[in-house]
Amino acid sequence: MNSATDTATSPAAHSALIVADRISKSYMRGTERLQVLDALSIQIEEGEFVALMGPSGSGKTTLLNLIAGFDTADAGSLIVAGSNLSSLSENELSKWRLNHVGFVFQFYNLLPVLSAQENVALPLMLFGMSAKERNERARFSLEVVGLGDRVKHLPSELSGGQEQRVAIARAIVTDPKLIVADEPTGDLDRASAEEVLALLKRLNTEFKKTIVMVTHDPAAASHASRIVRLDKGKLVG
Amino acid sequence: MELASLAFRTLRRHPLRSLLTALGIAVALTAFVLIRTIIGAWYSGVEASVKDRLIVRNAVSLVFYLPQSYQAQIEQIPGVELVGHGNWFGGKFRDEEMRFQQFAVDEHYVDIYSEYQTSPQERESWDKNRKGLLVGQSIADTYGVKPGDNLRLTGTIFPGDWDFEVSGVFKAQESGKDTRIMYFHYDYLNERNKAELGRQPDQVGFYVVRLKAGANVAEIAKAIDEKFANSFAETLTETETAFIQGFVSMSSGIIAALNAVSVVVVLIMLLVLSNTTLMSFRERYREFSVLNALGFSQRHLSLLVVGEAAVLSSAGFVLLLIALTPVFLLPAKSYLGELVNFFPVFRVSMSTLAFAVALAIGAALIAAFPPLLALRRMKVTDGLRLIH
Repeated sequence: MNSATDTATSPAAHSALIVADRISKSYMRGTERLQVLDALSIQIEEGEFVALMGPSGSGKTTLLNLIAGFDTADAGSLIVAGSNLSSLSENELSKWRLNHVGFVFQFYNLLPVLSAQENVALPLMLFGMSAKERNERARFSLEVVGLGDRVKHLPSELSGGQEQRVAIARAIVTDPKLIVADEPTGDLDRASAEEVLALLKRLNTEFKKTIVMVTHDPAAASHASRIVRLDKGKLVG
Repeated sequence: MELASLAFRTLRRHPLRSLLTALGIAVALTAFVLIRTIIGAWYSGVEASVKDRLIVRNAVSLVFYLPQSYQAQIEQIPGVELVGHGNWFGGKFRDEEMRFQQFAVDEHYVDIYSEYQTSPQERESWDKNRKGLLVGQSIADTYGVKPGDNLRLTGTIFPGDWDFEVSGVFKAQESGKDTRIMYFHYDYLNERNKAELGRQPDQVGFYVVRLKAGANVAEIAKAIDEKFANSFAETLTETETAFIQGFVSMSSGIIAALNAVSVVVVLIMLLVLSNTTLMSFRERYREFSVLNALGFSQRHLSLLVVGEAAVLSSAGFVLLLIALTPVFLLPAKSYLGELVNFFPVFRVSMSTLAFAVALAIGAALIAAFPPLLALRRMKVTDGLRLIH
């Protein structure tokens, strides 16, 4: 992908999409340094659906942010989709995210002035595609998530569950290997949450997407193929 | 949908705020353009003046006259081609204060101002008619006078009613020339003055000198003044440009104030745009973080911020052009009213419009600067944390 790309070398890492080796992360809170991740190591294979669980402050969102390339670790090595994220600049990380990761947030984060189709097509602007091609791909993604009849609707005209499905369509429109989801059902009612989780499961099984999901909800975590628990910045199970 | 389109769509989120900001920019730009145009109108006489045409006047003051006999002496100076003379008349027309310039001149004077053109027939008619009057096109249009009409002026410097017959209407070769001017024969003024008023007969207000091609302007001006040095009526000779500039500089305080106002107007525009741009950025900080998360680089986001400011600026400029439509399409009288008498040449120049474009672009860039700084410090996680 670029010169900073660094393929993991350990034998076990060859089939792994994510290899975190003793990564640490701390933040300053006032004058106090808060250790959020403490020499954490984890490996996630391609095609896995992993749920990250743990109490508040356990470091699960921080780990997700590092895996997604939103932030970089203070120490240790994190290789995702063949790239050593610590060695990438901000702009390189932006480009890397565009090519390798799709995001699903708790509060959808759709642009309110754009229709469902335009929101989904947004990342495709950066690939230099024609408007026609962008719209076709966005429409296909919306059909995958069951919203083929809502392409022209604004976010304000959709239910919470539908908004989250538009966000999922946006996450898959660039066909990334990895989808990270931060509490994707946290703002939804049970029925909508089940629809979203079923959709994520389908993306994992049918479209072979690797999914890493942060959740507090055991019911949501039950859809994952593996549950990883964190506490005080370390893996506990 | 491209970045520019995205910037435009984003501004529709708060249509009233965007509209008010664009209107604010338009009002500021319009004020700026009109102020610059007024200043330009003030200087229009200077710009339209001819640099190698000399004006000879009394060294003490313009209100003192010069002997008519100077004309022949000035003509003798090497480099001088033609000498004409003029007297300011200062009459009232239809009981109104003077709204145009009236000069009692000789034939040479009209020849020297060759940029004002009349037909050979009308000129011949004027030459032959002692009470003949040549009027500028603006006067003819304003008062509806035409060749053959009789016209009466009431003298203020030379009291009494003065009757004239319009011989012709002259036009300016270039659109920047003021044609609110009227010429009549000096002889008519001088002879009646001698007979009835006795107010400094055989004296002229000033001389106009046309030079031969390649003549040294400064040397000739000096030679004229030296010729009449130590006489009872010493002369001050300067180029027409300097002569008119002298009048304009009497209003330099007003012009300086107008210039200051135009700067204030630009600053107000900048504050209005900066306020909206910064407010919009702060409200959408999380959105910028999400875009960054999706793969939009700092460069893309910077273009989006600048683009939004540029769309507002451009909208302001378009509204400016709409506001200026009457100035482009209608005669000055229709929108200036009586002010047209002060600004006979009121034109929005291309350079002023180009300046306004540059201001709009500059304002967009400056207004985008604080959000751009914040953008450089932004981390995806900071913005996303706002929702947790």
